[in-house]
Amino acid sequence: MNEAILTAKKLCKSFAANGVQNHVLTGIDLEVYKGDLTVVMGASGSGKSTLLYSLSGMDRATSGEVIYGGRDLVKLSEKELTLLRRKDFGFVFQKMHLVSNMTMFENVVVPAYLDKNIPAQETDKTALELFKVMGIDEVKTHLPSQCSGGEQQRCAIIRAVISKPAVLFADEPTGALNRRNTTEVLDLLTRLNREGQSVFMVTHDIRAAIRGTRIIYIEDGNISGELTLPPFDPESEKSRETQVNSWLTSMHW
Amino acid sequence: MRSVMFLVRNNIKHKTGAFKGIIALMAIIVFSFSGSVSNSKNLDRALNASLDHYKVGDIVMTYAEGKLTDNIKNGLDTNGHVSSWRTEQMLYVGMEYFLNGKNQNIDTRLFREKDEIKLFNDDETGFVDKAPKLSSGEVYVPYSLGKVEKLKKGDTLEIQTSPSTRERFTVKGFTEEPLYGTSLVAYEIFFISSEDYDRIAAGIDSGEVNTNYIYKTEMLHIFSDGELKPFSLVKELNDQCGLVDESMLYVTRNELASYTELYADTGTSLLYIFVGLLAVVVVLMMLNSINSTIEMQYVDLGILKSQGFTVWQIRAAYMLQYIIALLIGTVIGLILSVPLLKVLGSMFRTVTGIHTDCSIDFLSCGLIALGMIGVFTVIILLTTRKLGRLSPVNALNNAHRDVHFTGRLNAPMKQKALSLSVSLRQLTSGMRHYIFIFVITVILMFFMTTVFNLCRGLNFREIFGEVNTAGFAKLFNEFSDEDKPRIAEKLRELDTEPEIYYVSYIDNILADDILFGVTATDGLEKYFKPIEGKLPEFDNEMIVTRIFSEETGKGIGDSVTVSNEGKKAEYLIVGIYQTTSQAGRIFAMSLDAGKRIGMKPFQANLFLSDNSKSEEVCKALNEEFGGILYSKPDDTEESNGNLYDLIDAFLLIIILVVVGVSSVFLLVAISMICRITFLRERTDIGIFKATGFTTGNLRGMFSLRFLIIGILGCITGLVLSLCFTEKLLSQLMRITGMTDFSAPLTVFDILLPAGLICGCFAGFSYMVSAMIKSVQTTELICE
Ligand SMILES: Nc1ncnc2c1ncn2[C@@H]1O[C@H](COP(=O)(O)OP(=O)(O)O)[C@@H](O)[C@H]1O
Ligand SMILES: [Mg+2]
Repeated sequence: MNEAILTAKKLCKSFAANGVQNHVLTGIDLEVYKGDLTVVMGASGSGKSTLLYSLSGMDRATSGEVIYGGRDLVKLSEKELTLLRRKDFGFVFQKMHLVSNMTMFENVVVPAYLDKNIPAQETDKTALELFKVMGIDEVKTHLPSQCSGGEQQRCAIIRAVISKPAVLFADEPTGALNRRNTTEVLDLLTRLNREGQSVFMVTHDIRAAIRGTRIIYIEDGNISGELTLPPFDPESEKSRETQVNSWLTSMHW
Repeated sequence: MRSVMFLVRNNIKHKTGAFKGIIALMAIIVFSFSGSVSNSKNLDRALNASLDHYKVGDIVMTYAEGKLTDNIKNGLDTNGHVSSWRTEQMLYVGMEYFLNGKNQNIDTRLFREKDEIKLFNDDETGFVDKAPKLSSGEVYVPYSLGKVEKLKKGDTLEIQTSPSTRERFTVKGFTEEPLYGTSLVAYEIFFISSEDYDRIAAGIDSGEVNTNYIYKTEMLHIFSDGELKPFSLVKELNDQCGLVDESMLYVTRNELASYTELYADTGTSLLYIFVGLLAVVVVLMMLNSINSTIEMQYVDLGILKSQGFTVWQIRAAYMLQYIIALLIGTVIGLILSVPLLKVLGSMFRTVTGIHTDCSIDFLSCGLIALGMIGVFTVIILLTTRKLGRLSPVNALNNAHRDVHFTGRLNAPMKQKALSLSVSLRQLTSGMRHYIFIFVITVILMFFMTTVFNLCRGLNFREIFGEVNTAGFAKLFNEFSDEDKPRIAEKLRELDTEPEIYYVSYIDNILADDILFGVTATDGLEKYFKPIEGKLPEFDNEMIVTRIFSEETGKGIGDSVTVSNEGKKAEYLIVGIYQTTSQAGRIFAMSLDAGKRIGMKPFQANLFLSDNSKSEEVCKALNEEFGGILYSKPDDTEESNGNLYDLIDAFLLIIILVVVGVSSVFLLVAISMICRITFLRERTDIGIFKATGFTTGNLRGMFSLRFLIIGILGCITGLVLSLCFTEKLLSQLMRITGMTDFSAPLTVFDILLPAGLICGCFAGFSYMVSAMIKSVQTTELICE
């Protein structure tokens, strides 16, 4: 186990606003392990999203290194980063960000078509299976505007995992969802993780956090604590929630 | 009001509503018409001032010596509608003249110099106070002729006065000549000294000068009291005293002016059409921009409403913003057209010979612009009506636009042509946004092909270059029909397949009591192509123009009574043709038919199997038949060459201006549309980026759909051109007599505009799509 797929060394990120430097991340050292469902928690504005985007190469860190597959993402070109996003990473956002004029199914397959090595039929087949597995098979020919938030978010997750990414990044994936839809989405993520998918999720929702096998707490731009848990089991959800809650309290949550 | 102004300022500051784009488009529109409209107005003003200055009558008649009888003069004195009349002597040069030794195929008249002469100053910026008296052997020539033939002071003008003698003059200066001064009319007026004039006139009287070459005529200027139309007055006078029957030529002041203004007027009407089309485009752009802003600012507008702004305040803000943009555009356009007018003015001076002051007609142009702004305002008012239905609650709660696309038009996504698939989807799902730019393309394509087509139609080299005459012979009074076989025989000795056609024409003759010109020739097949019906075969048949047919109300199968010098005859219309001669106010018949009304051939046209022999043939004819004719080779091409070059240059400039204006217009329109599209699709672009599309992919997709619209627009525009260009141009060219304009679209007419449009589309949208680089995937993050 414990094999690191992503390693951050002295990762710093600051934004210049009106001539004032806002140091959001101040030298983070972090290893993300393969097979984990890593959860990042912290107060609003503490830099959780910033960490996710710096780690995934969506945004460039100000200083430090992010090692993935032996390469430093900070030093890669825009084009190389795009290829990385296409092949190695998957993303899920708080808003589902589906292209409004494409059907649910097309939203999933069109980006996958970009990889010319995988024939379209194969992509379609995989997508179809995933739609069935996720239980949104009936709405696959609908446009996003005709579907519920939960259906849209599940579609976005399928889009993110269809290319079998090494890491699935999720920024507040349940932030815009109601209670029922939240459970559906979290069950899906847990299931993917159990099947071997490494997940890196940012959230401030405790119900999402308890799904993690490793929880990291961010404060003042750095990691102030971490908690490792066994894989999620619905049976013991209550006690797990209590455990995480008391840990968070100790972190001044 | 203050709060409304704040909204306006805020909108402008945040570039909502494509403020700059509207300014640019309006500036282009105003620029396009103000130069041309001012030029037309200036020309019209200057021309009329000049016609007044030279005391040109409302009706101008020409009579051979002695034909302007006391009876006619009496008639003029007694007719209540004639306010005054005057006559002027002139010498009519019917044969030929030479400029620096070069033969000119243009009829000329010699006038005695007079005080009114408007002589251009040396730097051509105006006129000298008083033209210096001419000495013997000096001549003033029209400005436009001087320009076309590149004459300088000191050049020579020679006039053929008998088979072997020429009068020789030195060019002393250039005059503004409003009667026939334009290079489009094939007459010239030269002023010579009184001394020379009297000498030549005396030569004619004593018989020293051959009157087949040069003879005395009298010009009659009739000033009407303006109550009757010139035509009706002429008819009245003809019934009263035979005004027309005895005359050589008849023309109204309005006709003279319209010849001079032909190019300016055609250009201006064309521009009105262009500006009208551009205005439609601007309206479409504004609608698109307003709709998009309302859509994008849905929430903001809801907030404004919830804060107590009334619908009217919000609408006023939109309107003011556009009105300000349109006004700024108008001012910029007017300023930009000042240098354009300078260029146009000097170009037109070359063709018309009329000096105009190159001032912008701010009043007319301003009024046109204000009228347009008024119409635009009403349209904006109507478009913003929907703001009234905007409920603040809805706007705030449904921050997301409810977009439902119909999937019917959607083609499936293909991996092989992924960019194309996505582009097509963007097109079909956002039809109403692209319909604007599609319409713009169609309009521009249609307009450009039409203009190119027109330019070729106006190309006289092509229109008149078809009949390949080898030479002409002017027939003297001594000529009679019995000479024809001898001439034919002589020609057969000189060439294997000679052809000779005899021609007669009268510039003004009454047909059903309306004035027209008539041509009678035994070469009808050679010169006339019926567009309807057939050519006359018998001596009671004639072929007429559409203009003739419309004015007399007679068509094929009807008969017309033609009267000339007291002879009357009936003719049956058997066909319709078109011609630019006499601006289409003309008809034609066979030589035998012409005989019935006393027409006698006075010119013969020669065709040879080998045109290089024409010089030799003409010489032989002159040697053998010198007493009955004077023959010369056809060098129309050579003598008109400079004029043709000038017109070619003129047309080239029109094409360049149209192409230039259209490209700038396309640039502005496309970048506006692209920017709006970009703003609307910003999120989608972010999503595509996040899911692995490269900036290159996205830029390609972004431009590809515009290219697709460009291509579709070009095809539609082309179809419209094929359907309507000929009709439109026939209408425009009617004034020249071309009632059935037909110049099939060439590859050039199609490919140049299509290439330009598609190139602009692909290029400009790709340039604008550089903005895609700036889209960060992190924009998708939100709390
Ligand atoms: N693009 C940006 N420009 C300037 N400041 C930013 C930007 N993105 C984030 N920040 C700042 O960084 C801090 C952390 O933001 P973020 O990582 O989104 O926090 P959160 O933990 O809520 O996800 C905030 O103070 C925010 O204002
Ligand atoms: Mg965040």
